[in-house]
Amino acid sequence: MITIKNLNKVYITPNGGKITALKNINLNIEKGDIFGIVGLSGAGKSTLIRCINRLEEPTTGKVIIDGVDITNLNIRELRNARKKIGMIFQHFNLLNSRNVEDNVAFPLEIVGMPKTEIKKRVSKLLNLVGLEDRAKHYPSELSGGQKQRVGIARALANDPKLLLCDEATSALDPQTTKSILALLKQINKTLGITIILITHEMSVIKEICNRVAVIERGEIIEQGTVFDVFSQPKTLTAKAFLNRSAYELPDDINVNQTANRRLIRIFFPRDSARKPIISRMIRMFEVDVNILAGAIDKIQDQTFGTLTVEITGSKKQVSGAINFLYNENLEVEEVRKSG
Amino acid sequence: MDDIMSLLIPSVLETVYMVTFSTIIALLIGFPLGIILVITEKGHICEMPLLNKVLSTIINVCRSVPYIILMIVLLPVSRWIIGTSIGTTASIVPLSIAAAPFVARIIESSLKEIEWGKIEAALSMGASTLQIIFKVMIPETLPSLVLGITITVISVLGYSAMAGAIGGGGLGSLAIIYGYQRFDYKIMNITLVILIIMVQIIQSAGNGLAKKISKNR
Repeated sequence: MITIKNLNKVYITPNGGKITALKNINLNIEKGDIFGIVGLSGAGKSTLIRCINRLEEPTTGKVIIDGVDITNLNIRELRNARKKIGMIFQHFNLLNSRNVEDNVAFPLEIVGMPKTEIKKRVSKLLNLVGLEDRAKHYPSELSGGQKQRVGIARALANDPKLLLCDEATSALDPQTTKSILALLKQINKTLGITIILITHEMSVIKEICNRVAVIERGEIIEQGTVFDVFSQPKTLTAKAFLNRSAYELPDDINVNQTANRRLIRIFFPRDSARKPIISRMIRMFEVDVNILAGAIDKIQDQTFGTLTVEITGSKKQVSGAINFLYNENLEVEEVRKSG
Repeated sequence: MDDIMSLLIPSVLETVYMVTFSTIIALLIGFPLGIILVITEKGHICEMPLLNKVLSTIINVCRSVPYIILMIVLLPVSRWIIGTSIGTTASIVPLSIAAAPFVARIIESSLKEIEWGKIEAALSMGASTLQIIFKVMIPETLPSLVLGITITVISVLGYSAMAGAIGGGGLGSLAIIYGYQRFDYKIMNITLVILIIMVQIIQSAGNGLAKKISKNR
């Protein structure tokens, strides 16, 4: 449905310098996806999502939505295309001069819908986000979660096929975040709207996305299904977004690897997290295993675990034990330094 | 007492007439200029840096000219538009022209108070430039705009008193003719009190209106 091809964004600073905000971005987003783009602040995710509806002009590259190259449209065509792309924001960006129903009516006024139809549509939308009883309230009288619900109703007003979420839950508390994510998921399921969201919160991705891209310094460094990317992260950034308790070791842990002592991190993909592999290994090879860190995580109903252990024993025992782990189809990596 | 009243009442009406029409004309010129100053800025919804620079410079030049000089310079213009350069109607011309660039700056600074995110949200919905101006920028900054216009009215009132110096009529000429030229301090003091009351009324009305608009926000 959405293809981003060789997208680059370069800012020219006033003194003539160049800042590359996005570097050769290639993404493919399918219809019905909830696609997450995760990265630390300053990684370029905000620029990337704004390039999709051209709130930021890409320097080079293409953004193709349903076969239409957005980057080729003139301003009039772009405005029409934007009417079918909803967007919600971290700080909601509601109009304080309008009450809830008038805020939701705003995009409908823009497309010139007749007043009576607007009224019907608005009440339907407020129903969808659960704010029927707040129609006459002003944004200043609403909680953060309610404001975002208004934002969502407003973004859905013109029946978009795509919803862009710019850190939509970052200003909300965890409880409210959960309810907003549930609403987004429901919208995705019932209305079949494709959602692209950017966030710096791993929990958001785990909660609702089916696919994810990790962005760092303007580049996509990993992408795939949420489970694959986060059960076996290849890059440090992806790892940093995982449950940190599984990765962080105390500073005073000796990370020197010897033949008699190996410090390894084991990834248990999918359902192997439920099997007693470690105890079997201990019995078979008579090694000592010291568990240093670990976590079992659930992503989209799939369990996976991460375990950092110290294995000691004779040279033969230790290497045998590690081979055993490989044979059980576990990913094993040596711990080099903490973190 | 009747003598004083027969002097004061027409003067007050003249002042009200001058200030009202000058403010309206100044707004008609200055309001659009203020909008243009904002939206043509770099990165805004109708980026035109050159126009912005030129307009901004012209406004600065106009605002640098002292009002008393502007009035004299504009005498021929008044004569050309109104047919005369003396009297209340004639003084509306320099008053409007002096106040317009002031209005432009006041409107500009009010409109800039809006958070960019709101404009961005409207852009993301496909709103046109005019829709953003009239449905987002102006309504969202209305309380501040009202206060800005209040300041303008009070400034124009002050300028209108100066117009008295070149035969403009109104409370200003009354104060100058009686106070300055005839040493009749009674009339001058009454004029001053009336001006003070007018300023108070205008400011209170402006504050009240702004408060009413922002009541629910």
